[in-house]
Amino acid sequence: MDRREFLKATAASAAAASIGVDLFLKPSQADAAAGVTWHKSVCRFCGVGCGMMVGVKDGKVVSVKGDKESTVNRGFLCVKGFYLYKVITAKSRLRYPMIRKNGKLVRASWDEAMDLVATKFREVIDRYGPDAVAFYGSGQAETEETYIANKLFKGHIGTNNFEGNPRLCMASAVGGYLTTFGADEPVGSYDDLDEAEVFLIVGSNTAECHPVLFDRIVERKTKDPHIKIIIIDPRKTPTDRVADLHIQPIPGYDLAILHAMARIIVKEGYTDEQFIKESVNFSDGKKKISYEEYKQFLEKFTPEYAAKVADVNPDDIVKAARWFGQSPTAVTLWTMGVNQRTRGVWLNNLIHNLHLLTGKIGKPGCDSLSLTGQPNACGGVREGGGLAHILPGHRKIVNPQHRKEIAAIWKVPVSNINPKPGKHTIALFEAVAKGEIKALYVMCTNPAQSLPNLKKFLKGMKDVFLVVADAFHPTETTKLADVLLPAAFWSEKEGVYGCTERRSQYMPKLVEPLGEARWDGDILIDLARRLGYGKNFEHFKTPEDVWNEYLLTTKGRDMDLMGAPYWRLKKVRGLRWPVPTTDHPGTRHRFTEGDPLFPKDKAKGRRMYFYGKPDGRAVVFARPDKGPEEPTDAEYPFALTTGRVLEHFHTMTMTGTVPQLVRAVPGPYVEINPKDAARLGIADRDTVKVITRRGELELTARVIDRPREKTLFVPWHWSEKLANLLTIDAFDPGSKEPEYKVCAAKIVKV
Amino acid sequence: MLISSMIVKTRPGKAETVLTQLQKIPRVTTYGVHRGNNIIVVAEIHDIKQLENLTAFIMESIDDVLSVSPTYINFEDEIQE
Amino acid sequence: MNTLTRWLAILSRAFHSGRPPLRPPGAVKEEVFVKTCIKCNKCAQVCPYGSIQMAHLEWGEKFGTPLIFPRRTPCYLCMKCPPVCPSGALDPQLRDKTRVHMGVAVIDESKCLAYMGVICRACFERCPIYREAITLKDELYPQVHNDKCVGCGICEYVCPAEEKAITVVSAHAV
Repeated sequence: MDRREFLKATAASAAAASIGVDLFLKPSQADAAAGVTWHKSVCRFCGVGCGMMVGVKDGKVVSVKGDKESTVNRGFLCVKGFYLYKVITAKSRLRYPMIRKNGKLVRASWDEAMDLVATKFREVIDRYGPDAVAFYGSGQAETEETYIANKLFKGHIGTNNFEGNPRLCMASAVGGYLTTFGADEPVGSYDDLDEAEVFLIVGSNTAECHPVLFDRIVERKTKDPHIKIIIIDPRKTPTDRVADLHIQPIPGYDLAILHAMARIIVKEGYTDEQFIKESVNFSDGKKKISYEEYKQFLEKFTPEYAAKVADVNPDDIVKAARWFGQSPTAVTLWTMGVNQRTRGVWLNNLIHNLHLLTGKIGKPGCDSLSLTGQPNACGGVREGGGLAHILPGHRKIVNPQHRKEIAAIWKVPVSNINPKPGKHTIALFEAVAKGEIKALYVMCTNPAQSLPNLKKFLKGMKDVFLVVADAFHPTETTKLADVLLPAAFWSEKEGVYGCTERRSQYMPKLVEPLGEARWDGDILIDLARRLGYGKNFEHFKTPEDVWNEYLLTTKGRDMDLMGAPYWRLKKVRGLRWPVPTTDHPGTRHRFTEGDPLFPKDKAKGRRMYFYGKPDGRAVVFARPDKGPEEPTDAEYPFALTTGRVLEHFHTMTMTGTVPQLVRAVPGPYVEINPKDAARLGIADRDTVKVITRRGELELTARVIDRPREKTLFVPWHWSEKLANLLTIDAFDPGSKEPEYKVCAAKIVKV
Repeated sequence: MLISSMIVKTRPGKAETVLTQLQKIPRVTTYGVHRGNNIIVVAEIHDIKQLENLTAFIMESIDDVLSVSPTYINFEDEIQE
Repeated sequence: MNTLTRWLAILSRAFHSGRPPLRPPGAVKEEVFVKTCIKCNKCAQVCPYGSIQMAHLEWGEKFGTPLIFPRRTPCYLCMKCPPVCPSGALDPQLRDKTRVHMGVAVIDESKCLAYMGVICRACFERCPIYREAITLKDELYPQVHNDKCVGCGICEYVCPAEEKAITVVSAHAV
């Protein structure tokens, strides 16, 4: 081939590649020729836990594709995941440490930055006590990272002011699982999606926020058109397209609907009396009540009553209850529409009620499955004990035995661990605002954009000595920082993520961190050493060492992971706990036959034994149907709700670096129902102002029949239009999770 | 001399007819029809103006062409001059 | 002309992929349009989004007439331009965005992320003729309905594929 022919062949190959054709080579040959090696990993975005094959060439991540062997996504990815590899080398990656000097962030050495952090933390701790410092982590950090931070702050510094963004996202689901089943996290798994005949989707835009699972539901529906999909959501989301029935309540008034469904289920005899007799208790939230008393409680919740409260059609409630009741199997899915509410725990309870009354739990095709928003909220934070009231291995701080067990593993005197829970997220940032907390370490999250009612918290975050360890800069939070520590990103570090269905998956380190970035675990160990606690962290030479110590905290617990060491996780597509030994396959349904912890002796022939409860019985709750904290009124007649779009994740620090994704959703907007728009003279793409009691925002109107009438929807991704200036910081008294999903607003044309 | 490649997209079922016509253009080499209606074309041209003329010519004088998308251009020889 | 400007030239041609550009909503047939349009620039001035560009010299006889390059800025169908057209090159009566016919979107399945197994609905979600001009087969694969598609180019603009998988073919091809 002469040079000209060669150039022509090159040109033709380029053209061929643009249409996805390999002109001269077979694909595998092409990979080899191009020097691409493929490695098994996990997606960095939401809580679904999609398996990914990551392509590496010349020390760079050049491509990703869905892992066809993953049972989670079976080769599928969403558009965010598809472009994840581009984020690694984004311009906005933080490449070296920075320190604020004379009001400006300037480049510093690692030594200088870490010395400053250690000196300042030491000074604050010595002068004001350990509770004057705090840690705020993330459901996107690895389990290993959260574990090290936990050990440092709770076990060595001695403060329980240790929170993380899962408080804003999952706390109500935790509260629901704990109160109802006595143990956190779902009973079933994704496998149940493939066998369910009824799907009840409450307050979840699965199609956009968990697209790969949505596709599994669609596949199920396509194969079996007789299955029913019921949606309860104030907004017609893209998820709606597969719905057989959509109940559109006024935001914040769906509790009565779930009670009304329970009432019909009981009245029309769709209950599993045997199961109720064996495995269910009833409670009004304060004391045990009888089945009869529960039935009487339900009397109030006629379909007509619920329909009136929520402004929906009573016949739809009856239809939904009958479909749910008559079907042999049912799965309920929910996310933030349920969790981010001042009655989030109660709503979780009411969902579980339906499954307990009908016995549709702990068997194939049946589950009440809380979808998780972040990739490691379940793994690192819920299981790893990354909140102010818990310890690793599903343990509670208030329990002396639990403190003793953890202190032993951490090799510290038990007196090191404060027996009093620390401040939950809103209280923590209130304490920051008041100056009670004087030094704050933020890792892998962006609270200056994600906290509700932001105006209240921003000044305090500016004033406090703020250390931010992040892979990106600028973010709304790094802008306020006193010290910035560049963190290694996905594929630049190894570790474990635990997804929605109790599955722990390993992610390999494939490339060196960008610039001077370091693994968060390494940064925390460095800090521990500089604070004088080095001895108990010295043996952490690799993430695997950290994982091995963490595994000890799970031994014999309900979330036993002893059978999931690195060597095994590297081979398999994740493992679902409990997995007590390395020859155990993992658990599909908890509390029943097949769960290694199922106590056959205690169960005495019962199908399910909820071993998190002293008598092995789950609880059906008679919770009052309370409305939202801030109902609409004449002055603020709209209910405002916030959420996400398919192409972006949370505060856009990752997806905002991918031009293709940025173009896909050109900018912030507010959705308004066409009827409301017509009444107010608002046309599509008009500039409007959305006003709440806390703030106002100028946005482009998107007139679309998605939110119900008198409802507005604002996605919260864009930092130039902070949706959380509008939201309310009222929170669930049980879970302390804020009510992002409902507040009162008005909208005016500008 | 520059070397440029492009994808010529045709209406469904018309790729073969378009292909024959493309093959008549001097200094144009075709590399087959792919994915139904995409023809890979490599052209040897003198300058950018000629490339523009060529794309316009393909677009306007050959029936059933939906689009012409340039995908690659090689300047190497020219830079050496 | 140095190499850089040549690349820019190539890129700007690639913006419309060698295809005839779009005309604003309500444009009459291309051969009539070129003769009717008085190049007054009023449509471009009234466009709130800067979607309408006046053709440069390279467009020969079309110089000075309004063009829309959807990859730069698509038409958002606000329908402000037809009424201000003094020449009749744009139908001044046209108000209904669903009756616009600027072109029709074509999906290249070999480039489309959805057809490659990546869950993406950008074109479907942003289409202003929502759920009509573009629908999803099996809730996954976008399909264009030629009778409903008005050719505004928003889908082409938002398409997040590396190389645009959906492009609008102008109704004014000559």
